[in-house]
Amino acid sequence: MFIRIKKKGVSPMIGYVLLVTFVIVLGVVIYNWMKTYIPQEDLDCPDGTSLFIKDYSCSNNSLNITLKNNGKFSIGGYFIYATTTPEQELATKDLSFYITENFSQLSPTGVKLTGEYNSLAPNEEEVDIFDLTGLTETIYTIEIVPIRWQKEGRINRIVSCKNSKVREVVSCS
Amino acid sequence: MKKSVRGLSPVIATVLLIAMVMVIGLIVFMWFRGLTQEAITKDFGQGAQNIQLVCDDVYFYASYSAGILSLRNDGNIPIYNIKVKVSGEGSFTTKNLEEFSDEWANNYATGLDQGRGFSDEITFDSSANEIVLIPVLLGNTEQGKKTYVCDENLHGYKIIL
Repeated sequence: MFIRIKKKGVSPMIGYVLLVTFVIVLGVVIYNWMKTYIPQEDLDCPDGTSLFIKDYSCSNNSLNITLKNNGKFSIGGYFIYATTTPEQELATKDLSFYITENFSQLSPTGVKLTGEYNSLAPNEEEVDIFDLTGLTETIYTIEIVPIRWQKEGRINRIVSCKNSKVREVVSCS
Repeated sequence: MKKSVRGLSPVIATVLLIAMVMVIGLIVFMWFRGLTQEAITKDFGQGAQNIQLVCDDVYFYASYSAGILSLRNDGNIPIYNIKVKVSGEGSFTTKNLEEFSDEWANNYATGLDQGRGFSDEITFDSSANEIVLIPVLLGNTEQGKKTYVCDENLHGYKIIL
């Protein structure tokens, strides 16, 4: 008995379309999964960012600090900490709460320099006054970490210049 | 007796084949997804990044002297919490920092944000000879916010007591 078998399957064109669609969908799924594993550039200030404590004075519960931008890039502000015991290795007492100009204090911490973002240009100076009334401890050293506003992707955010930290031994009581 | 030799039509066979492949594919996908960890990401403006990579950018200092534990986040990644691994005499315990410090529990609900410092008197067990501070980050998942404990060996901050 002769049986005629129909040998036609899916047409080659539909086969190609299915194959290409399948590959594209698979590619999109894998791309979306893998793209979060691509390392991004570490947030940091450019090399050559520098701030130094030119002068300081303590009187009547007031700490005046003269800061100078001795780097190559403008600076927008700083984090300021103090040690309150002689044996303390790491300064953690946040002094930004004591800055006299209220509008200069950043949330949750930090001091913004006067003017627009990154206002302290190279070679410029600024004097900031801290009213230490209410601070019961003695200050032994102060540490300042400069900060800059930098455009990271679509966000203008604060970047800590951790490699440009300055430390100064002070005698304020 | 006449035997019918006709089978399924090619169209039905094709539909069945595609349906079976899709179902099997779905089952394999769900199974594979269960094997892999849920992706926790963090976005700082450059696009979402897997939180395991974000841990590499965590930068904090710590010290322990005269019974006072001090921490300071000098980096740009907010640290949501700190796990403290206390080791001594062949055993160890790991607890969150708020279990050691009321100061942390009361005033650091959002953790150690960028630029923040922490200092508090903490007493560890007398047999303890080493502590490791492991940063915990808060990231995003499809189900909402989720914490991620960074790798102790890569990102832990070891202090010998």
